[in-house]
Amino acid sequence: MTEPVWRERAALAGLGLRREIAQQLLAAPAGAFDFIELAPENWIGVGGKFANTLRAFSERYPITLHGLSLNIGGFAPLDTELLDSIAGFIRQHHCKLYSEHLSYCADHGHLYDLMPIPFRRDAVGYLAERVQRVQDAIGQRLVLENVSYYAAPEPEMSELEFICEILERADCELLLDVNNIYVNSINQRYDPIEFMQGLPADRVRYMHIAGHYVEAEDLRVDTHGAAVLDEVWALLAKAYALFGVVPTLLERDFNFPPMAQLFAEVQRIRDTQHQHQTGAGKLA
Amino acid sequence: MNDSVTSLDKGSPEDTGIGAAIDDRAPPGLVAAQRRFAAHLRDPRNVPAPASIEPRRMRVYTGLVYANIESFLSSGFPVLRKLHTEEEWVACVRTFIAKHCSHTPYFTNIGAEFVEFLGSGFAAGGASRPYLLELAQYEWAELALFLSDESLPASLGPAPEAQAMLAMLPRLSPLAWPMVFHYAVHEIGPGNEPCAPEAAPVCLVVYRDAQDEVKFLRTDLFSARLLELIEGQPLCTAQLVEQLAGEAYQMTKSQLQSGVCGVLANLYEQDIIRFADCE
Repeated sequence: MTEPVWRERAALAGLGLRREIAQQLLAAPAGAFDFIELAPENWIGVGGKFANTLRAFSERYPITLHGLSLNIGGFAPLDTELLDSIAGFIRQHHCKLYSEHLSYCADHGHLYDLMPIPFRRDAVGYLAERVQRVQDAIGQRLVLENVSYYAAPEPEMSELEFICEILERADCELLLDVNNIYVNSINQRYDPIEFMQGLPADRVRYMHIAGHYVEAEDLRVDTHGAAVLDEVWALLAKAYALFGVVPTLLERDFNFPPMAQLFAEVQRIRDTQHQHQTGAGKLA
Repeated sequence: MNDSVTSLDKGSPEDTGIGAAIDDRAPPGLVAAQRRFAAHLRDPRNVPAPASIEPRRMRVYTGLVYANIESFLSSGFPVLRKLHTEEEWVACVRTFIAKHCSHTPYFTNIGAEFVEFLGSGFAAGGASRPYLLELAQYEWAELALFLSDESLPASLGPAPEAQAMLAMLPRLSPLAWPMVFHYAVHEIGPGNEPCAPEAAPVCLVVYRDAQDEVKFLRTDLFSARLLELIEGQPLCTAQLVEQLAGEAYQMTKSQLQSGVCGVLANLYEQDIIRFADCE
């Protein structure tokens, strides 16, 4: 088994780095996962024992960043100090990509959660311009995630139109969160495959898959605390068929099962990827 | 004793984060819609939800926001949590979410925001349990030091002999926070809540040692004064002795000298100070 290496548009499967399971992940057998994803807002400026943990991962695995506090969709000025720190973190740990949520997480102060941006026409240009400023600050494309949402305040356009216009005008990339599409398709009553067919294939850089909580038959909550549903696995396969294979992350934030179960889910991502890999992808 | 918890501005990482300002390109309609939505999330009992949204769906958001912030606070302040009834704690967390403007984008720094909130007069129990604020300051110091990215200068072996030490410059470890409290915060817990402030100031040093373990040391007033001087302008040990000789300690110069050297050797061995050469 060689050291894990990051490749774009490749069959790679990763896991999220949570402090609760960090030591178990470090003890994982070689090849259990190909890369690790972390939230920079949990690790920037952190020293001591956690810094040692981070260094151990950084030496052994490619790292991707999944930000939480950028507030790209909010009305507060962009936090340029945060962006500078993230840019420094990317350089220090040779991070492979930086993704954020197409969402907002603050009003005049942080609420540390993802709120739904109203799908308003006047928000599109504003957001696209903010994304461009972020891309200038970090010197790379931002990868934006389609978020799960439970309410669409005062919509003027569909979620799909909103996402597509922002991706196009900001010239950024998409983190396709397959579980979010599934959750939203139930909560907002739309066809998840039709939704995916409307997305720009050439902007899909990275994917997420996760389990969720069934609050009610018509209300699912994206908690990342359960195993991935079969319906969501099927949607992942459909996503690969539509967009090709890209590095994909299993999100699991709490209620951790034995590691063998997590690694089996990671392997299932790979199996799904291999079933959909083109000849060119296999050679890469 | 004045209000002299000294180290709360040492939160790490340094940041200013967001605040009252608005991105001047933000469309006013978007700002208004987001303010309405967030205002309800902050205070769902007093601020009505946007009318167009099904209450059940809005409750998903209010539930997620509360649960997330509550989990950071209860894990960061375990003793403080235990000293509140469920009802008191829920009220405290809800008030924090409703009233406090958190600037930090870092999840690791939410504790500093909470201490600031408690210090601004919102401490649950408030006037009847004034020690809760000091307890929160102490618990935050432990967590902040555990997470800090400062590093302890390497030890140069055993503490120097007194004669050598006199010519050296003691420096406080960036991972040591001398703190002064009215209450013995390190002993407070369920079943051990103080009835009144201690007769004398409670001087503690919360610090992280070379093995990255966070510990505390309770010191006497003499050691606390010495640490205060060390934290100030750089003075070599002999100058510290001179400084203290001018203060009201009932000691001869030689007693003072051996007292200072003894305290410093102990602080050095515990990784609270290091010695540098005087220029």
